[in-house]
Amino acid sequence: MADNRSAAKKSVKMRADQADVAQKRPRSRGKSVAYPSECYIPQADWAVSSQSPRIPQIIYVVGGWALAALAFFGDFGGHQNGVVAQSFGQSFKRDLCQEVVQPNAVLSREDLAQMLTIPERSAKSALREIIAEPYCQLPGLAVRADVTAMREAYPLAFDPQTWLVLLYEGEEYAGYAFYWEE
Amino acid sequence: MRNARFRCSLVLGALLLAGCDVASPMPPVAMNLHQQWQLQPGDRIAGYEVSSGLGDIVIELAGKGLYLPRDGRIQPLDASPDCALFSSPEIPAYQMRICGLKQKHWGDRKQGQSIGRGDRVSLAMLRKQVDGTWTMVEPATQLLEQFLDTQ
Repeated sequence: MADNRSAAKKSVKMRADQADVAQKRPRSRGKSVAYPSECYIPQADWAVSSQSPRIPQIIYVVGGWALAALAFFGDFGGHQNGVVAQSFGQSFKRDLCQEVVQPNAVLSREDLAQMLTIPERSAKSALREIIAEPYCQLPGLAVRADVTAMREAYPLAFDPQTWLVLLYEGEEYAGYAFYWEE
Repeated sequence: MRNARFRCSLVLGALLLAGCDVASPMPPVAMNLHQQWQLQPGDRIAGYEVSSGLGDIVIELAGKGLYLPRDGRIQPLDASPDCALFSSPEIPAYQMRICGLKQKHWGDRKQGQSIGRGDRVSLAMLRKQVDGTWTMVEPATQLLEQFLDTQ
């Protein structure tokens, strides 16, 4: 059994040696090794004459990885794509508000809790009895055919980076969403 | 005699017509739908043909991409593994069910990013009901255009 294993090792070693000869290349690149003349193969200029022959090879390795990364993450349709965004990275005031209505508007815990008791499809006026004017209005939005949606937003008093967005269709309240700002 | 020959040729002609024109010898029927839909089969949005549109809007995407109309989330649907659900905090009370995409890019993604590609995709706009269920409504053509254009 042991003999078999060492024999196997030997044959592997032999194969490796044969491979070296077949490739006619040094195994350790750093050392200068004398080769029989029949082992000499012409090499590219940079490999023999450059003072530091490793640098160009590194460029190939880095370039290869860069190409692989591009192929993996890139969308060749020409659209911005790649790493999945965990956040949208937008400033609500700057990027989403179109018109500031009430710059001091914030929503307290009590207002929020009470507002959430109002069912969808209620009248806008029912909500406005609980919560005052919004901080801002967002641009009008075409979601459903023949209806233009209006959106209003309130920052939460106890969590100013979280915004409550309300969507109205005419005088009807359609629903809410929370927007987490970065 | 002349009249009879005329009638005969009329009948023959009608038979010939019926024999040759198998496509549509029936007059079209005008149907009053309870709900009027803007989009009709054969319409085009952003250059793509709509092949069905009573409920799910079916678009002949021919291998092209679909893009997020707003920042939002693309997540799998439990009941239909072929479909994806788009939701956005910028669009309260609505979600879009998208079926037929070949590869889907899941997760939180930005406006204009790719959702996936497909040959024939179907889009169903869902509106939130008071009881928390979702009902299908007709999406605005403008919104569909934003799904098809990278902007």
